[in-house]
Amino acid sequence: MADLRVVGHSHPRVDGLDKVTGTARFSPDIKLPRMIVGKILRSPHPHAKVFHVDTSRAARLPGVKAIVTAADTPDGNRRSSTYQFDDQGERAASSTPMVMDQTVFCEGVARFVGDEVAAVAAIDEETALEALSLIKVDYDLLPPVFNPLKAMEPGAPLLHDVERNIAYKFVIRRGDVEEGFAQAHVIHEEIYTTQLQHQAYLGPTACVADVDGAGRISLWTELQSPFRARRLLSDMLGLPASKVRIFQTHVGGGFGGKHFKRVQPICALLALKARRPVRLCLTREEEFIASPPRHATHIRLKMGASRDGALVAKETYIVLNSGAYGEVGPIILDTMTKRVDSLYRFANIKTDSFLVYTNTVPGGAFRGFGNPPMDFALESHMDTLAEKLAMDPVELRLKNARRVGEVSAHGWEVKSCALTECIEKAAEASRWKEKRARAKSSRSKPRGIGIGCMIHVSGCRYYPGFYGSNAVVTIGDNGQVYLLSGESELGQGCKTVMAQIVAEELGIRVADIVVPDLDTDFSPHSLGAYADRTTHIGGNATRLAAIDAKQQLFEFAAEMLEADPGDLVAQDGRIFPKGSPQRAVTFLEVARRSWFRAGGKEIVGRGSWDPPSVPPDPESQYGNVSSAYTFGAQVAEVEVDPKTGKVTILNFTAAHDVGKAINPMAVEGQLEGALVQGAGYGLMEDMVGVDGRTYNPNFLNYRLPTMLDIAPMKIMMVESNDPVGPYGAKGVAEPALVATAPALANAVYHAIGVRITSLPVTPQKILAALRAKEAKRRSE
Amino acid sequence: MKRPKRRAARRRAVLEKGQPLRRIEVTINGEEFDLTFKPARTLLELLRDDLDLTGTKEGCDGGECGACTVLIDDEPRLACLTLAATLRGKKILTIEGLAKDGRLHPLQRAFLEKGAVQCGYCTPGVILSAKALLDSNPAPTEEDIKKALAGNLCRCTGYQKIISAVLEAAAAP
Repeated sequence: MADLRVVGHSHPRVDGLDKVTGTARFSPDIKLPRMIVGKILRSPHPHAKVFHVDTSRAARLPGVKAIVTAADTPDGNRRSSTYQFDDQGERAASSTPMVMDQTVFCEGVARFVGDEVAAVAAIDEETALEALSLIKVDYDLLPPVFNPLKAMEPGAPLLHDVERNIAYKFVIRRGDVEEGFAQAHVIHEEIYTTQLQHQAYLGPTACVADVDGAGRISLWTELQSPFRARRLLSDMLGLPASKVRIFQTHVGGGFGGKHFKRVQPICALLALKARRPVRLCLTREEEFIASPPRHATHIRLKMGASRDGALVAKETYIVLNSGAYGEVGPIILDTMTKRVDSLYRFANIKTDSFLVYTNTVPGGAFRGFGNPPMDFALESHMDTLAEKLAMDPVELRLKNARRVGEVSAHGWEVKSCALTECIEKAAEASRWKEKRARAKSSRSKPRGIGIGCMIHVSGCRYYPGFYGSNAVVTIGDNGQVYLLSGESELGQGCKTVMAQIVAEELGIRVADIVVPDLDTDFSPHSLGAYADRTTHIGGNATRLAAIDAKQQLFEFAAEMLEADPGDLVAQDGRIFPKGSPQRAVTFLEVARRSWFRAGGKEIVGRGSWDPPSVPPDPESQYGNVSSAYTFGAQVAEVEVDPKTGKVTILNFTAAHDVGKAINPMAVEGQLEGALVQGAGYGLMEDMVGVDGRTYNPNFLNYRLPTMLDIAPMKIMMVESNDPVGPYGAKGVAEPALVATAPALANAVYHAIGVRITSLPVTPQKILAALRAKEAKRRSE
Repeated sequence: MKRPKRRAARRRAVLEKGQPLRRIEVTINGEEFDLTFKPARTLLELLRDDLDLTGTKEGCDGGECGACTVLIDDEPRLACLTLAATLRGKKILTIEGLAKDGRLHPLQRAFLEKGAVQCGYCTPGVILSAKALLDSNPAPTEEDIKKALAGNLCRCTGYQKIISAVLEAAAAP
């Protein structure tokens, strides 16, 4: 790997020029001839029977071209596909099946404020909004339930036909926790809660749908997994997959929030009915109230450690507030339930976890996917245990840190792991020892330093079927190379990374490679951007496609060089026999020959790669779910004003095991962006819900970190060179956010001695905790 | 549920009823336009819907995110909060007008080279806010940049590389 020429070197984005000049088209920018505007009517009630939808007055309004309700959806208005198949193409016996209970429109019952009831397409926005106000919906209010703990009680109103509103649950037992606790020198139990956090991508979700004369529907939209969306759409619209085509536009940020949503099928239904192109764009308010945010959670954690700091028992009770529907919730619950158990060498584990329906906005995927709330609980707990043991928190973590070659309690095989190195590097670079020991009482605004560690996956398999990626690399008449990948560019930079891989293998420049936007008619099938799988899995497929193209090209080069194709090397735009660079032909000459010579051919290289991971056994939940695990340690230093409770971040130090940084500048960008998002999760961001209504559905009241909120960030990429990843690469985008909130909470504790167990760590909570501490001190 | 947007749209329809169309002359990216539109048309609608200049982005339609920042007579302004009718005789610059004769502005180049762009949705607004800063303060400090760009939200980059890019552009010859 020492002589990599493109991989491992920072490269500007291949789509960057388009983005800095304003020509990049996102889904809200798409405009077609005769296009009309769609708008959605949503339930104003958290729980209500919808027994009649009268659209007759709206239909008479001039300019209204289509109105759709649940009655217009085919086949019972169902979301019917999990996209989890087995080796025979049958719906798979997944270890963690999604709960596909959300229909295109709510039918019969509205279950949250914002639940989609009907939609209109009209000649302009004003007319569409006017039409919505003319639709008369007869609601019969039902008793709602908002608190998941209350929703589990007997007699609570039920949202779906399940007992105690429990949509899914896990019961995990490893070793013997009772025996573990019996050996413990210290035991600590605490309840942690975390809030709804919105992805808050800057680009709203939009969809433009158009139907051709043959009834074939095309959609221009922003999706993290377009092939899954194609299947869902064909199921929901009652059309064969061949009648659905999805064009990926530029994506204005995703972070988990741009998976399939109701906006796509509703837009398609409107276009099918109006027989005109329809654009449906969510407003920022709609994004907040009805686009699935990170779930709110309730975690009771009890852990024991022996005198030397070994973690001997972990007992967890988790309630994940699913909101009104289940969807991807079980897999997020799975992540919360199991992931952190492989961070340290736990042997005795007892976990009961529940996904519970309430009449609130349904939660969904968001960077970290269930890992951040549980990591917040675990890593806060680690600091308390360290204090009880009179150990340094870094020391306690090093004592228990996962190491390479180990198999965790859940069967995860760790083939590369630089956790120890990450912790040591982060501690050293942040001057941990010195700052930890510093006297803090002398300052009017005490300072503190805290650490958080994390583990994540690079792809996570829940079913036995294809979990891989396909890629195609073709070579054109002028030596230009086309890379078709089914993976989604969300802004994270995967087009650039994939182009670097192709350039590396073909010995050409990134500038010679064209990476077209994804089109489900032409792009090869891949699963898309989630579970941090894109670089690790998609990168491997792309590399194989490039190698395949290269081998075909070498056949033509071999004719020209009178050499054995197996002896050839491609480097710096030239192809030559190994050891004889003076005998080179240019890449361009060979490409032209393959394209033009009699009996030649268009070179089409193909690569498919399915990771060697194992779905967990549905019963025991044991199995090596990912082909590579990522690790990291983050240190935050803060200053807390005890008068106001305000926390100021002084700096971050983040050391992450990325396997191999294919594009170091992009990796750094992922880490920096995630630190700031993680700081938002830790300190500021909170969707405030009262009686099922979101009270801050805008950027004025849902505060994102701004440029004034950031602090210096020291980023360290630790390269453990994973044996499976392309060039050793593992995922990086999601892990980078996981440990930020606990590092901040631990730093706040170090500064002022109060432990905030509920996110976000706001000034109000800090002041209340300081007051309680003072009251306790006085009473003693 | 409160539906402020819908109420606003209806109020707007009522207000506009019987009102004469507005007509202005305005310069956009160096080109002169004579435009006629409904009284409540915003600059953002004018740019995106009427002139198809979609480089100016709509992130919130409420003046909260900065994605629609354009320069009006060299000052950064939010197009979503600006009534088009107030722009008579003004000079407007959008992201589409920044590169001159196919040559990128130093800010555009620096944003590319420094990795200050990820999804790119906030980028046009951020670059225009930064241009206004550099035009009035050619050698800004990091604090100057933070203050000038605090109204431009970015969810991807964590801002650090944006600051580096603005510093780089300021140092460019």
